[in-house]
Amino acid sequence: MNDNDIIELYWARDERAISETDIKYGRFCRSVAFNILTVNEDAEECVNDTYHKAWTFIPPQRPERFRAWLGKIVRNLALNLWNRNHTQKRNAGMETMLSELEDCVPSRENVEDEIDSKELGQSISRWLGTLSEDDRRYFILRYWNGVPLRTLAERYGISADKLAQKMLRLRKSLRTALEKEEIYL
Amino acid sequence: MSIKSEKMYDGITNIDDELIEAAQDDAAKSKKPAKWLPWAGIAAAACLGLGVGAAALSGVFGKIPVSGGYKTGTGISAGNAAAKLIAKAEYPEVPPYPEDNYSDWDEYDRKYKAWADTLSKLRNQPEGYTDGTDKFFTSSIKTILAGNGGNRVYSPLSLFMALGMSAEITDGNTRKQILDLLGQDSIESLRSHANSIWLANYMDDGMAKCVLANSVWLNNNISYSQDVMNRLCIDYYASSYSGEPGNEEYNKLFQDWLNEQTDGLLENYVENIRLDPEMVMTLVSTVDYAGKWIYPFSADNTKSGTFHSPGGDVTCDFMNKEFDQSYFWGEKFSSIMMNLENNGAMKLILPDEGITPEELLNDDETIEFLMTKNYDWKNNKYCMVNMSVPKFDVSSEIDLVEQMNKLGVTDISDGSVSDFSPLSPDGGSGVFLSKATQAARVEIDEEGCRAAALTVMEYCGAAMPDGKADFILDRPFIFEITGTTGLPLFVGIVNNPVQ
Repeated sequence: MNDNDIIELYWARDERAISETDIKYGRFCRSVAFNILTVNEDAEECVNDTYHKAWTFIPPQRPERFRAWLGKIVRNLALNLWNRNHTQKRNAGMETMLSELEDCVPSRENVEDEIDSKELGQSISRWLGTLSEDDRRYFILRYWNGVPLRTLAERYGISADKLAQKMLRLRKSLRTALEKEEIYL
Repeated sequence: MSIKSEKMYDGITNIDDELIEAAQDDAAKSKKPAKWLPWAGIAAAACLGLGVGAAALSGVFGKIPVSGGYKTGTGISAGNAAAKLIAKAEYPEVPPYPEDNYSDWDEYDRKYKAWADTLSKLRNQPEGYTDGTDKFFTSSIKTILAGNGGNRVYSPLSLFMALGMSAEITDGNTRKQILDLLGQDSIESLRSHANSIWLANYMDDGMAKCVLANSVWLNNNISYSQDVMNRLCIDYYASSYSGEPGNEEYNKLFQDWLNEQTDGLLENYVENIRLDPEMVMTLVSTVDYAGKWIYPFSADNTKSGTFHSPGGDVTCDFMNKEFDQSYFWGEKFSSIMMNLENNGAMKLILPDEGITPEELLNDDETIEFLMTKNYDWKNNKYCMVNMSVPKFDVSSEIDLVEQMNKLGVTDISDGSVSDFSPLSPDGGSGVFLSKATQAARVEIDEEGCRAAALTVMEYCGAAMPDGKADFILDRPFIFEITGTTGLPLFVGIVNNPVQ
């Protein structure tokens, strides 16, 4: 079933919307959730909450790119779940990813105006647009999909060390790009 | 970890959709599989039986044992000395749910698509295929679950299928009374609806199961219409057999069929079921159902507590959890819905203080809620729910002849007016419904829900929550298990979780 047909089911309040979403994108959502949370139960909870959210948001929303739209919900819910659970020393995937992202954070003392996440997203997108296809893919799969570094390295036939070096350079590049735009967090 | 890195995470979440999509498409070209979660199932079974006899037959019904797991059965083969195979139903083949650890991405993808495409075809039934059925489900739930006191469990979908088959072997006013009850204006409409409902509910992929299996057991001393047996086979997936009812081997084949269809879960019970030598025909329907909570309860959070039963307080184990989910309410009840993996859901309905479940089932809004599919209910809020549910194991036995009479199906049990002419070239003279019983059992625990029902018919309130809702089932309540179609497989009342 194509995305428009699935979205029409949501608009018609037809419960098949959720099962069709699961059939088409359940695997994708689970992989994003699991990569971030690394706990099966949490990932499953996250994905099912995503479907509930989708049911609540559509209508009135009509996402143009349904997969990315679902993935963003998964990421938001995963962060909430991580915040709820991280005191239990779980979710190593998120710990590692956030730790790496510290490198990208452009900061200064006495920040006056904080940027919102959508504006930040646009700035990061502009920076991603300057990268080679490979680098852009590696960065998105690592930090948006949450694919572990070793998995990514295996998947694309690069050594993990080499990829780690590449990622470090990309994070620093992002930080520089954001600083040039005078974006501080 | 700093708040700032979380903000960066949020920022990355909001990068352009096009960039995200392009990266996914590139990733899909990779030959290695992404991480994928394991999937598991728990089995439960329901069985419903329908018999037709020229004289009163006996039936014994009791608690049905249930256990985890199920296996796929085949069926009694043709050519057995004690039973002649008249018609054999062939079930749709659902590819097994693919395992998550394939080293070959393309192979996994191919298996997943085969599974998904098959289920999609099964679910894609003609528009309006459940039209009219709400009338039957509504009236039968209200009538059959009425009464006072103990636990009760009823399987509306099983009775629908059994009555559908009964309509095929009757005619005239006898058939009309059944059609009226089932909300159908013609036998053709019923046939089409029953067939679609059967297919739309069908699930047997090695992980989850919901199979409505039917069979017909004929007395070889009577003649029967092959056309009718073929019809039951094609539209109701009913296999039919003929033999001598008093014969031990024929009886054993009958019992084996029941055990096979219920994966041996009913063994202790089935050993007491016998085909009466005087019977003309016995119809049996089974529903084999397996369900595992999508969000299981943690056994660590299960605590002993008090349930306020009408007969006095009892102590039982309460499963507890707190999580975000949809919370529903009406004038006289509150409810939540717990999804079962790829196999429907269970609604738990708590009457407001001072209202009994039996009273609530007479409330039109509650019945409307029971008939509402999935989340499509007017009073619905997504919020944090603090939930406490008793582990329960409830069963009951219902005399359906009396209930069917109350529902307007009377001719079928009166041999002086009943019309069974389609059943036999001899006209089916003198055949009547002598006894009809449904026994059922439902059990839930931290992992999931198990349910079983067996029917034999023989011929011869709450307010909108503020952010967080408490849902504490420490007094009598109603439950409903729906399949993937949203139609009611089981509805019941729990007055005492440990009775």
